[in-house]
Amino acid sequence: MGVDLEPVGRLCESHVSNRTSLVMLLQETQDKYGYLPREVLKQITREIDVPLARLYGLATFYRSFTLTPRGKHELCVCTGTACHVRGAPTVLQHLQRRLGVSPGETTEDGLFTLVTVNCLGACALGPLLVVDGKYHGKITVGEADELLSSLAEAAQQNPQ
Amino acid sequence: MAQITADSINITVDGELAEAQVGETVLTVCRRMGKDIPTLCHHEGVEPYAACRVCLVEVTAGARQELVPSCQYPVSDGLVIQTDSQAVRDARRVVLELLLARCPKSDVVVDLARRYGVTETPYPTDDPDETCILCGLCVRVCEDVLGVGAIGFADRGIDREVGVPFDEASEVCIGCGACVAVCPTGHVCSIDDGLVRRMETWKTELELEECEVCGRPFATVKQLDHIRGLLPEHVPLNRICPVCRRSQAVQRLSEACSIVVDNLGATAGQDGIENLKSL
Amino acid sequence: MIAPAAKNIASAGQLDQLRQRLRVDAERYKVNIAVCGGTGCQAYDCQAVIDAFDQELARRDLKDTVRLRCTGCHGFCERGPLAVISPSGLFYQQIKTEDVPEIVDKTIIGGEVIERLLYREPITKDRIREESEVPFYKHQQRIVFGANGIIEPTNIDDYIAVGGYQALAKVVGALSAQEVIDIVLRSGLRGRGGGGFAAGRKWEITRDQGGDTKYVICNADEGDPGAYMDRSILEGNPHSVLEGMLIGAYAIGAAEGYIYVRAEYPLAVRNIGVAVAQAEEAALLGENILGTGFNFKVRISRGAGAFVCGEETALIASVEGRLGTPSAKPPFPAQRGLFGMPTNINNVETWANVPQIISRGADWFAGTGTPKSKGTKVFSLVGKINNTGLVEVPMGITLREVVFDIGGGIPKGRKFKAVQTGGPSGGLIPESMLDLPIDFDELTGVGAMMGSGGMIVMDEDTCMVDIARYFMNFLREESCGKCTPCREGIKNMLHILTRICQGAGNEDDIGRLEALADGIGAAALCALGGTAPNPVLSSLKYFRDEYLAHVKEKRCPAGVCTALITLSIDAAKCKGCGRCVKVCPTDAISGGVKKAPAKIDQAKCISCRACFETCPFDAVTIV
Repeated sequence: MGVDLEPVGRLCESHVSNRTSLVMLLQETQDKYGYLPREVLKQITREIDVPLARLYGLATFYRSFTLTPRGKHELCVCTGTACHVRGAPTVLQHLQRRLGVSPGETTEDGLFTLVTVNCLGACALGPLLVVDGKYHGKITVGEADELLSSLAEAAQQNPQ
Repeated sequence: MAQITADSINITVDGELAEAQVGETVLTVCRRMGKDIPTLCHHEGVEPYAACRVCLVEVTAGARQELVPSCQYPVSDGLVIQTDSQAVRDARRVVLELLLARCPKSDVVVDLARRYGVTETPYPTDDPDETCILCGLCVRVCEDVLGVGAIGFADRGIDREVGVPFDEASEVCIGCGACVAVCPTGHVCSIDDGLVRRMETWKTELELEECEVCGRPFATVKQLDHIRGLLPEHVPLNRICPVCRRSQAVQRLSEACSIVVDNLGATAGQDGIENLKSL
Repeated sequence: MIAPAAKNIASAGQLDQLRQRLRVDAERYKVNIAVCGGTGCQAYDCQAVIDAFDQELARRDLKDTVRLRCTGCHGFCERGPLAVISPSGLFYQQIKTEDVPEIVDKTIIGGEVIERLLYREPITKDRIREESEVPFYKHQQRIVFGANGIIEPTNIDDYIAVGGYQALAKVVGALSAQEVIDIVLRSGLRGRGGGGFAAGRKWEITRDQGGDTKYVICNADEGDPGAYMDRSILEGNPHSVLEGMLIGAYAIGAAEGYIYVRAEYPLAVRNIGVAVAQAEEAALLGENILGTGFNFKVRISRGAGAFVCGEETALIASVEGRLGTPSAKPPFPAQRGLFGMPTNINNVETWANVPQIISRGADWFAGTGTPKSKGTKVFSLVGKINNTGLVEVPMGITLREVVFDIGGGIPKGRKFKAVQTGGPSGGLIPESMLDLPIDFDELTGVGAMMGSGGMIVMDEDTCMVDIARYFMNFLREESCGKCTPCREGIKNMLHILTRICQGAGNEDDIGRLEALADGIGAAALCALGGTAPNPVLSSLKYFRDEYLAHVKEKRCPAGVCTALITLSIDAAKCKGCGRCVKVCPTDAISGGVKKAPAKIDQAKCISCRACFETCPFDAVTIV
């Protein structure tokens, strides 16, 4: 499970020359890798003089960072207040039960990552489910089920 | 750290007028006055953090009355402070109830809570063996004071913890034990076992070096290397344990004294020579 | 997209010339189509509508006479995708791509109105032609949002054409720093981010600190759930924010600024990035701005997912690349802020008000509002409300006007219960206080707060204990964990509330909640912790009977708390469609086929409410 460490040098160089913060460096690293691989964080500590503990602290404090790879599809349930009063908890609980994962986790087959977000500001569409960046407004449990089934089916027919 | 300047100001502590210096914290002044203010996340050698909230005192500035962390709050002219008001005691009690629920076995927490009349807590305990109160002193001394940064905070909120990254042995820990020394609850601990120092809390083991004089293991190899790196090149680093260093220093001092005594012998009286010798 | 003409503007005179030229250029367009491109409408796939317009206009060779713009948010998110067609001002809503050829054919070429696409007033059933006549817009007063629906946010020319950067020219050309501060002070502008501190006073304190290096920061970390005004301003009119920051920087003596923007707002991040780049090209950011020797540059810092970073000291820590944990004040950021230097932080909406105040004068601004809260405030009106969207109203308007006149009341004929304002730091405002005028101090007085402007409407089907639990759960996730009372206290408040929602609470729990709330409020390190108990305290204050029903009768009056409800199917209403059978996770529902009514097996039912949410015929009832 080798991770290509080659881009790390360039990321660190740009961080130093543009005087960006460590948070920005980690954001760019995650943009590059899709997550923050342990080896990459260690490589960063070798490239720039920063303790691994500080990088690890940032990576676990801020919710947009993840230390594990995401699933093929990301299901994001908005849990903002407007979505909450319009039934988001029912949808979220249903997805949790059906996928057998909690928010932030990925299914064993690597197909789905379930996440929540505090508010996307698309409150007119609540409850809101975002599947791979596409917004599905006024979602019902039944519709969520159908979406899940069609994605799972597509994955079965077209395994990578 | 508080900078002492020549600017003197007047404050009132528990009705008593007191003099303070601009830049001092409320805690410094109050402790000088002999006030009993508890602290958990505070240490003289580390920057104030204001996190544990047991050092809260009540200040009145203008019309506003509020609870502030004395360890960090700077004094200002005319500041009125109450270190033991009802509001202060109530707030400390809530904080201690919460800490007691978190760390029911920590003697430091149990004793302090008892002083505020808290012998049991209304809140449930998640882990009865928990002893870390998250004061952060270990992390702060490691990164801010020593510049090592072997340990850090991880996660946030109720899941916040101190530890080594990825929960695996640290490559950079020098095993100096500063974290052990500053930990107020004994959560951070280490054990020296032969030529190995085990930083138990950080899952890290380090090789110990033997004293050049007495041969006892006394410091980790990495710690000595770290100090070597901090010293100017021309200053030699003696790999000698503190005990031997002290006796060597005494030795040197008495040698120096005897030279002084010899030189002074002619002019100083007998009493003076005896005094010098007793050093 | 049309490349901007604004490049290297060297003086106020050149800016003026450019503006006049742009206005003349604009006259060649006979028709302007402004399609809303805010995040809400993007979620309705407005991009497909825009693409359809683009293709249709090209196909008919109309691109030289018809200008198509993808603008920022128009506010009426409930009705997207929407478009305004000028000069007639015709307002079409819920447009589908299939409608586009017809719109071009009939309306743009033929000048006809397509009745079907007009907004229909739900009570009178009248079709309304113009945006300004729609009740949702009619009661609003749009100062900050004025240009949102007109300009293309990704083209600086549009902003300049409507008078943008004129206030900056006035300031750097003719006013001293003190004069600028005096104007802002006199306008009575207060920070729109929550605290309501006088903006001019804050600027003055920062300016009066020693040292040469100072910073201004735009707080765009709009974290309150249900609040998205700041995002819409950044998306729809980013230059108004930059211009406000430029003016503030001039008055304070800062040469560098940061915009800290929430990462969950990708469109806002993109648009403000484009705006900064275009303002740099136009030499409105950089060195020697408008030839006056004033220098100012802006950097964008993307948030990384932490609500607490809306707190000033945590925000600064985050910009510096550290953990977003707050530190005790004093020192205040105005004294020692970013990189240890005096720093002035205002939020997006506050900055966006500044150019207007400079252009139109302090007295004009102070002419709107209440004695202590001047100007307008943008709210996001969301939740159980007919007209979800962003509304900009004069301070002092009553909640009743906002909820019923603008918001159109509660859907499905349900009964209004409360409005939640101020997010997790705020509180609930019950029906008895609907006539409360909205202003900073009035809201604080009743235990709520203005916050950044989220207004979540709740109806009789909303459980107030559940709402308190929701906010404590939110804060448990978002507490940084630094100080004891916030970290441990919120966890325990959540624990108690969860117990109550599960029917395992007792009357002592209410007293325990109150004691904890007081302790956390008094002892926490920062504003997040200090205000964290507000949702609990205000629900206890106004809806104590709901708590009592949970603990004494083990009953959830709103029918929300799953452990306290029983679901059943009304055979008379059930059409046997089978949808509930499919969604039931425990196979507790039988029947529901071939029009035979479905039935719930109570032994298997886990009261998850999935059937209730799914049933299109309201046949599932909760007791």
